[in-house]
Amino acid sequence: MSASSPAIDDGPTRGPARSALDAALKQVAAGWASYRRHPLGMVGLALIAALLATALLAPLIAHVDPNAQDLRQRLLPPSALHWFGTDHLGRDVFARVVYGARTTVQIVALVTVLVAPLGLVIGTASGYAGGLVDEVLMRVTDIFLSFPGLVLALGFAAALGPGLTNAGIAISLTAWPPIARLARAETLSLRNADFIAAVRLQGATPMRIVLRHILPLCIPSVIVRVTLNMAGVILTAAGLGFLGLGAQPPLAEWGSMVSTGRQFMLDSPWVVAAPGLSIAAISLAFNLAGDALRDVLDPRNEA
Amino acid sequence: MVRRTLAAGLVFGIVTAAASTLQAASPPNMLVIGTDLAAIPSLDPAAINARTVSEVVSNLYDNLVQLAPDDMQTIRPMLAESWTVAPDKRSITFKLRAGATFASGNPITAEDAAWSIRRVIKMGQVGATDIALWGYTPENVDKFIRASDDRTLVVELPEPVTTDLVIYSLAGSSLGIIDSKVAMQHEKNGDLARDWLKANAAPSGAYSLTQWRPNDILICEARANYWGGAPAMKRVIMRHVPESGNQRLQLMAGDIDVAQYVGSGDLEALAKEKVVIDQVPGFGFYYIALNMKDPDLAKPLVRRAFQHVLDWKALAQTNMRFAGFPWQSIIPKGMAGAPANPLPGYEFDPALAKKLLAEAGYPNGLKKKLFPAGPVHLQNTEALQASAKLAGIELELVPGEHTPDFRARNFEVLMGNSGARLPDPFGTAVQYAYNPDNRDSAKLGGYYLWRTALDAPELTKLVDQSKSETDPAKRKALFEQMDKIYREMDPSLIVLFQRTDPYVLRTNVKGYFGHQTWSTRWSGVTKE
Amino acid sequence: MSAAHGPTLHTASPADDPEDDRVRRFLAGLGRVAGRLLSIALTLLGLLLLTFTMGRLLPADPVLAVTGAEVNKATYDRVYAELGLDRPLWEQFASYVGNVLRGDLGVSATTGHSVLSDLGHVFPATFELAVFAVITGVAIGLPLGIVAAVNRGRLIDHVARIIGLAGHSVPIFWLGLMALFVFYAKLHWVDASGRLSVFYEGMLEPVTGLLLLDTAMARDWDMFRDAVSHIVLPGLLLGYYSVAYISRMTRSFMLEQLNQEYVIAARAKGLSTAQVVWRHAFKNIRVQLLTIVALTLGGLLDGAVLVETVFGWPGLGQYLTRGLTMNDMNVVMGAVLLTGAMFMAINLISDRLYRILDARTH
Repeated sequence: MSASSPAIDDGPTRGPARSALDAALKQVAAGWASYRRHPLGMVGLALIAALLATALLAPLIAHVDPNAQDLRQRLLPPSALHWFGTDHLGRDVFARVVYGARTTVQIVALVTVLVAPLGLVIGTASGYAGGLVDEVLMRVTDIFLSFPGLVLALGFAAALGPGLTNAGIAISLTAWPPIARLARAETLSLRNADFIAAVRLQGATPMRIVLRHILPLCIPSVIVRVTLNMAGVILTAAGLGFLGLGAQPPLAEWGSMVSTGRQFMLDSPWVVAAPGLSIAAISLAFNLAGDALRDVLDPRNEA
Repeated sequence: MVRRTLAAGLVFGIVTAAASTLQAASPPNMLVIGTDLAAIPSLDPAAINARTVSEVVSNLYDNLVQLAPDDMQTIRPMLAESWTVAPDKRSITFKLRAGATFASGNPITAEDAAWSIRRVIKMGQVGATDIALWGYTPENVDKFIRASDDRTLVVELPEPVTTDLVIYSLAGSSLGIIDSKVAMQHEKNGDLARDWLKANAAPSGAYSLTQWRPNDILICEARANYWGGAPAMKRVIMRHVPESGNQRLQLMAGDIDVAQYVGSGDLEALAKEKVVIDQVPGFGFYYIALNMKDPDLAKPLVRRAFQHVLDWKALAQTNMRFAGFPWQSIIPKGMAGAPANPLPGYEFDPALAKKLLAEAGYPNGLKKKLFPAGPVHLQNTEALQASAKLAGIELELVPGEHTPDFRARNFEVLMGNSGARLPDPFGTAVQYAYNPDNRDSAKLGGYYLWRTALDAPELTKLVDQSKSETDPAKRKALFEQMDKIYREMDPSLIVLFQRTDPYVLRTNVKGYFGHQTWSTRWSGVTKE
Repeated sequence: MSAAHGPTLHTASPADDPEDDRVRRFLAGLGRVAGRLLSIALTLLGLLLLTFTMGRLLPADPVLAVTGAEVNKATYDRVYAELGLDRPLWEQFASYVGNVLRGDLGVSATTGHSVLSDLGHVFPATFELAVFAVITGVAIGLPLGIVAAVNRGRLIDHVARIIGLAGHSVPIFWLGLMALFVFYAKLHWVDASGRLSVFYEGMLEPVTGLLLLDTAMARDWDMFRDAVSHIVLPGLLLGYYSVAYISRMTRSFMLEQLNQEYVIAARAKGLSTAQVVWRHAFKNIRVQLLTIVALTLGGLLDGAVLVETVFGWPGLGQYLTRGLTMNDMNVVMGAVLLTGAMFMAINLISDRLYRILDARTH
């Protein structure tokens, strides 16, 4: 429903790309002012910042090696020594949760880095070229869209084999179509703008026009869209981990921590409580931030 | 507003309706078993060799002979009421029980028995693993196994083999006697009813098959016309309960009477409850397998280093507490040739392992891929991964189902377990010390030594000898010799535990005895 | 037909010849339908290509999937040739498409049954769970969205938003485990694992495969209650998962209506908020909501994969994940294909429904 953001809508009508970018920046500033008025959105943002900080400073926050085992100290309840208790192999759950933040950030970063360019290139190419290229690319997009994300990601994760990188690739393969759709819509609205026509008259190749003039203008809305999808990405990643197709042991990953912990849950609930709550918190944070962002960008919802 | 109230009322109603149905315990003439029904592609005796399905098949089909769960050495009659071994020890003649019938009402004849045994050989699937060792082939089996009249079956031996071994193998779940007339009605393109018997049964046993939904449920009904008398449990239900915690809760609630796959964590908790935990020792081991096709692992010093990188004592008290006991010999405990105490054996000593690696030319350690044979072995591999790191061995763990990779020699380091259905040291020796053809093209995936690509002609010869040796003292000496050679050669399979299969029973269940060769029979089960 | 009419077809004005007009409209309609069918067929072909690729990428040996692990070299080579694995990839794909069109999805290596018959068993279970969940989701999400819209910006709006978002944020597998822990293990309020207590197994011939329906039709109320006590926990959880989406969309649609002039006019006439909402605004968003509900049903397949694993629900999701962990190639391909086709069908149907109903209301 917010297929095109106001930041872009009025951009091209003003003429050259540079001023459109300026305008976009101004819109971002105005958007931030509006965003700040959303208390829940700010909570989400704070939680995301906390996640990033935890990931960066993991060794300073947790003093223990998250992979250090001591079978004789297994399944200990939370204590001063082990804040979140220990797991079935005697590892410190707190340290694993803290380092798990790193894994989450890694996967989020990987998906963003893969999905944004992929969606942008396919979407802008499809939108600018039109005709058969558009038809084919959009048909492919439709096919990928005709799967629930997790099911497709599961299939690809199994096909690619276990591991964090492969999980990231599998999720990316399912997450690019909405981005491509968005970029295509943006491109269609930009394609006939005056400044593009001017560039075309100067003899720029289509490749250059797309890469230098159209693609950069699509970036802000694509970033917004990626942020909106991030909660879903995190949950899919955790789901893959839970089903044993995510990160490889001994890497601390919240989803797989819940998965292995469930065997011991009845007697040692802490082994699943902490990682589960962590996933919930960070996914809620992205949802809250996304929701506030949507309100800022969608005039229909403005109070 | 009205609709909202309605909606709220609906939800409330559902919740209270649910809350009011508290589960009732399973009825007194019904046995409910919580188990794992995944990966059972067939109920055909000739195509099975795993634990759960062996139990199912053993109740659908009777064998000629049986082994009582409490005495694995004595062979007892079943469909055969007696048997005699020829003086030259090259043939056994079975006399079948009179009056025994199949579920169809057809009389059980020697011809059915001959047909069932020949069929296993002719199909050549996993069910034939044991009996094919005695030299039967699809070509010669018609000649060697035949019915001389309705109640007399003659089993001739193609080569000299201890007759006890042959009779043991006939007690295995794959050699159940099938109703050949019923089965052949469903034969397609000469498949010996292979397709039909996958999901149907032509039973000679105490139970007949009522319903079978893979990964979900299996229901058997007691046969009123069973020769041994109608069993007390009229109905036996095996329910697929993949989560260990669920099995535990359902057992405590009385929804299930027997739980077969409870994990270590839940067993520890159940040990404190009023239930019976029956730890049935099996003829198999937990091992670390090292692939000799890997140039690093082919070095004896590297393999010796691997003997010292797992803290098995810690595992024995935790994850392996109910799944096995420390045992570091290829001859199962208590059997002919087994050492009185094979421990301490491979001490956990990362410093020693590091030193051995340095001597082998790896002063900076080693990097290898580590595979669990299946998801149940994940925790053991995680433990190995962490303790091997202390010795400078970096193991990249690849989770998943890797038994096919193991069979195809497509692995580096692997942890798994084995089982055997022959209650004789020969059963494990043939798995761990036998490799008649080490070439890749031989595809002898049934032998673990082949899987790890270790060529051991001396051991192979000893195993062959033990097959035909009839003198008990000489056999014992042979197994002792094998064990010694195996121990001293830095084997590619490092045996650490002998397996036990924990069965958890409610206290009111009597007569359910987990069988060491997995032929647990339900006909004697009662409930108080 | 066009030959008989000759050039008149192009010159006659539709108004002059109603018969001809009908033909032309019929032809145009036919063309549209054909175009649509072609487009669906192309998408389906793409779907098949995707599942085929996935199957070929899986680390499973298609030969062993047929023969089982214990196989001698001769049999292996024979099956290898039979499966056409020595032929070029496009030929293999063509024969795959042919098989699927003939309803042959192969045999599962782990169940020994044909994948098609397996799917016939597991799909009703998932469908029943998903329908139960959608009903729950609507029952909670719809009022929540309306209340939030009416009270926009107030505390109740924020609370409604958090309730919804929490359902969409908390990992459903974790929430499921926690719910099992509390309501089954500790409180014994509900049953767990599977769709029926073992006691009732095999006592009812499935008619629709939907247990709630089957037991109700058989008027076996004890069994019905038992089925309810099994579905209630996974169903409610899965439903809660969809609340965020339903309530957010309802709120958004409702806000749009509440800002319309007719609402302001109605209010000016002195109608209460409740009257405005139910008599006017809600009526106008019903069609939009219907599509949302249809889309939710498709989206729930995702959550079902995880919920089924946690609750031992013998449905499509569990079938697929087991196929994945056991490298059962045909199962994975079949289950993914069915999911994709279902998802596609739901989208198409909701699209059609929207058009039909929308045309009727305007």
